[in-house]
Amino acid sequence: MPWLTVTTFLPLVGVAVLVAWRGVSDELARRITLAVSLATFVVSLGMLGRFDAGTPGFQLVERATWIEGPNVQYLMGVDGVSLWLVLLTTFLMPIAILASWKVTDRVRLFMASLLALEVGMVGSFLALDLLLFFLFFEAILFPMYLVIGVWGGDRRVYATVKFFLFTMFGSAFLLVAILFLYSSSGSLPGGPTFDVRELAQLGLPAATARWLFLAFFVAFAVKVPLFPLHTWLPDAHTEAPTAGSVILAAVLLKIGAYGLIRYNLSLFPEASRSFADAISVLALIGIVYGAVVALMQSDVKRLVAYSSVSHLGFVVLGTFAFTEQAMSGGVLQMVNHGLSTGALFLLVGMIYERTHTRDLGAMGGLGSVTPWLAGTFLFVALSSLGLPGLNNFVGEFLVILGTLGRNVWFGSIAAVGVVLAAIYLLWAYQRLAHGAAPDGRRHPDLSLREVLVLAPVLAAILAFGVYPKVLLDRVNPTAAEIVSQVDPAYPRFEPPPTVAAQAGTGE
Amino acid sequence: MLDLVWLVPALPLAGFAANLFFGRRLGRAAGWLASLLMGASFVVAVLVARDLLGLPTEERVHILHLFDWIEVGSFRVGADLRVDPLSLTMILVVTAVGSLIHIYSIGYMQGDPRFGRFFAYLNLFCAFMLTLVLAENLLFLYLGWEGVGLCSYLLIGFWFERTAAANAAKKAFVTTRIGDTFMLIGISLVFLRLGSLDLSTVLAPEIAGVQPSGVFTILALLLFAGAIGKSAQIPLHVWLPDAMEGPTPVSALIHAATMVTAGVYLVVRMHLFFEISGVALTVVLVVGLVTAVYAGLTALAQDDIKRVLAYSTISQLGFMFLAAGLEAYAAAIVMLAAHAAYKALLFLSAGSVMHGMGDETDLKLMGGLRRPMPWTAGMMAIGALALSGVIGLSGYFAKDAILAIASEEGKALVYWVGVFAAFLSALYIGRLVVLAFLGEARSERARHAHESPAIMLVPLGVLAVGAVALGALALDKETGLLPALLGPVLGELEVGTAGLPEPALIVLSQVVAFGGLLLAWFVYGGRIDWLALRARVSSLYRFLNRGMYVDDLYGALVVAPGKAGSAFLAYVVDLRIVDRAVNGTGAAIQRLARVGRRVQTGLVRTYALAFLLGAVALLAYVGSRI
Repeated sequence: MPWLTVTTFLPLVGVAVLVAWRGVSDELARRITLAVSLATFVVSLGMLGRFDAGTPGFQLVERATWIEGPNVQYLMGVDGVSLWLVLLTTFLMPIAILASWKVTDRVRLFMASLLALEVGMVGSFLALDLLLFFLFFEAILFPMYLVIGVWGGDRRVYATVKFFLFTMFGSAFLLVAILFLYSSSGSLPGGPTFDVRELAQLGLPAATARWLFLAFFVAFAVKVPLFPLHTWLPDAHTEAPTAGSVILAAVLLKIGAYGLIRYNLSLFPEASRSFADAISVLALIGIVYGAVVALMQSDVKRLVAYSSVSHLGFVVLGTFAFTEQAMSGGVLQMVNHGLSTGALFLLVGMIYERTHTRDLGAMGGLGSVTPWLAGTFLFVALSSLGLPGLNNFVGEFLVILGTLGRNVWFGSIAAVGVVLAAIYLLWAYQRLAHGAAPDGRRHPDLSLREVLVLAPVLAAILAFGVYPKVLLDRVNPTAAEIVSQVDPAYPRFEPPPTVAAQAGTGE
Repeated sequence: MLDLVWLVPALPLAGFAANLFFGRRLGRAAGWLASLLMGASFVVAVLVARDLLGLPTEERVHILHLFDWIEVGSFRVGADLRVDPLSLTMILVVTAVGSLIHIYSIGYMQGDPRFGRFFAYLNLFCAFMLTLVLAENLLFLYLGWEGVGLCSYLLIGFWFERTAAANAAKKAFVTTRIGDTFMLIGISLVFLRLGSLDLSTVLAPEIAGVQPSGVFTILALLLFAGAIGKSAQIPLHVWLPDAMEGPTPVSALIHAATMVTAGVYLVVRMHLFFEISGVALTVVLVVGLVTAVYAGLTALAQDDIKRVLAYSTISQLGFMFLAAGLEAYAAAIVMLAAHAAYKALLFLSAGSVMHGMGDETDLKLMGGLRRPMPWTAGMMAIGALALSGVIGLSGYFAKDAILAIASEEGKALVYWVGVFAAFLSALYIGRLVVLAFLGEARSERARHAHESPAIMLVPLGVLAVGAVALGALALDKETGLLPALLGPVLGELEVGTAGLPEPALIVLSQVVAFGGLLLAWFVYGGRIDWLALRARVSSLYRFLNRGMYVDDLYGALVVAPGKAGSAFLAYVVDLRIVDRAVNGTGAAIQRLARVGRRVQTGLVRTYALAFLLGAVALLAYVGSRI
């Protein structure tokens, strides 16, 4: 079975059904969408089953000639970096759909948009042909534009236009760079190609590689988002409906970070090394700046948005530290941030449905009014602030560890973000859960549907904190290979011989 | 039994899970379930002790690998437990005191609407604390370390409807996290410089040759920063007095007997680093000594019974660090164990007082409580005598061993400052007992106070036995039971011959202890109008009462500028500068937004579709040209 193709395009079947079946009832449309997304998740688990943990490089590769003239291929493959991002996407999609059960406006179109998004996102992670990647990458824009623009909040149009312009700005550079790469790839043995694996062998002049690196970098930095290109994110998050925020934070931002690893590092290793310090500084600014600005937000969605800027800074920092620990940590941080921030947006949506406000100043007392809802929020906040034993700690720690091994100051500054995260998250929790409820209002606690929405994410948050080996075993070989390609002399932190000998014989 | 040591943290963890989900349905049984599991954990700890002590001295290290935790490249840490005399002592203290406080809480928390939740958190705390002390590598230790911090947060803020409790909880978590972050950097550097986080590797004597001693100074000081936060030493002590907002059993268990001693445990455990460094050892000694005096002085000016005890705890922890700084690690652990008993006793007695007085904590409104609550009064008196260092009780053997070692090592200044701090502790605890229990009742509440139920008084009795008798474990600071047990892990104590002769030390210690108690009785026993006296030195009083204005200083130097800076970044830099600069110009964005607003939602679909088609067309065009 072509696992990657089925995982990618199964949701498209759902889109087709929803588009074609004009008379479908809202309830049925929801159920079809949920069923399709669940089926996709099951197929992606099959992909996981087929994935060989010990092998670096691409697996389950599927190849077909797509366009003969210019050598465009349908080329899909999965490695340790993309594997978990695909699973994150297919795992969160049914949850986002279940969380959107109460959307009543144009349900059919909404659900079709969500499924279309899934195609674009999974495709972006799996495509190995640059032009194919670009198509998937752009295909995300359209449904996302709809999700925010049609079902969003009051300032949705401003937010969508901003989102659109920022992304288009980046994509323009990306497209030019991709086409330039293709045109210079004629010297390769197989002729000109968009195949990433072959393009990585292309010995470009250093100056050219740096320009191309920057073009790719801008496109992905907007998506991450990296300071100072982050300002579209708070607006987009604030206006997006719950499912939109979840997907945006959990998956969409990761495509930027994924692109940096997959394309910037693999295609331009020399340029990656020369820009590493500058980019690390931007990432560090993002970590501290995002956290500090988050401190001052009273709109809980904006607060979580800025916390994403901070957390994604760790991913970029880890990507450009070029140590195994930092690289694996960065990949883990992507998956874990997706789970935790996704869960935070789910919870914010649930709180909004009860209190009809996102203003932390107008909340309070949820700890006594809805103890399970508040307790769940605290659990997720704790994971987000990096409590050991929960998921986020592992990635954050590995990034700090690996970065410290490269540059003690970079690693130490990143650690400041850990302190600040505790402040803004606990302060947010205090404002929404502690004290007395305003007007003594009563709200229902979590419903069965809400428990079903949250429980899988909470379980994953705990499981990946206690036993991250499940993830790491499959990430490590690829991460090590990427790092050794970018910087063959990367530090490996072996124990000193005296200690190693002692540890071997001791006990 | 040694391989079953995982049960020690696992039993309370199971209790946490049970009470989290079913606590409400269990009702009062929730408390019994939690206490039972803690008791079972204690029994397992005792059985583990029996097995470990059955081994020859040099074989008393048992490492249990539970599962792999985080592994990337050469970095490998597991969920590994280590049983050796030091961790054994710690788990015995934690499970014993923990069990008693669980039982006491059944009475104290009766009628609380979140009764089950309280026991869930208490169990979770014990599970993390036991993980902390049993961990075989520094990262697993850090998991326990952060876990107890979380439980401290949850339990200080247990009555979160009160703003003061919610603020105190957050302050505790954030303040300790500042120290913890240095510690995390320290742990990372331990791996990067020494190649491992396993205690059996990094605490091997050969490690000294791996890096120059300057590296060990940095590592030791970073780890010590974590200890400073957790054990509420200067300058990160500010959270502990506020933490008294939590229910009193929490103050006894977490903020006196166990969690706050984690820093002492860490320094003692990692003492090799501090010794290789030398400088770090001096830092520990100075911080401990300064804190002991500072908190002793501020404790004198507190009228809230729990705040007196909170500052007392800070001061006593200072003594433990002082011991560690003197390389008298066994003495530090003896003091840790003795302090766990007598300070838990004092806190729980204070809780009994509050229980009998409708949650009153103001010493000025107490007085004469010996009559309505004689049992509590007796228990508190025992705790106070132990704390003062009266000869024969546990506090004497603990504290005076430390001071004697300072004297014998020829550190006369350390000794005399320590003696002064010891005098302060006798004075403030004497003051507390005199004001609460002697004289006449000074309020209606004090007149109508009542004794607490047996379920609270029985644990007091057990702790009192401990407070009296634990000294038997360390009758001699070198050859006593506990020092001898810990010797192989912590190194033998090298006693000097400088300073005063031993009889003089003993006499002096008793002069100080009884002098402090008698002075307290004289000043606060009704002969002197101490409130009028205080009014005359009101600025000194306020200086001490407010903890020498350290909190206010932080407010002015850190919190206020931090808030102003954050506001500037958020409202000016982000919204007005970055946003606009990146958008091009503010005006351009405005125009775009206006255009955008005219697009009706119904048209968006068409527009977006048009865009997609356009993009595909563009691609097709470009593609065909290549």
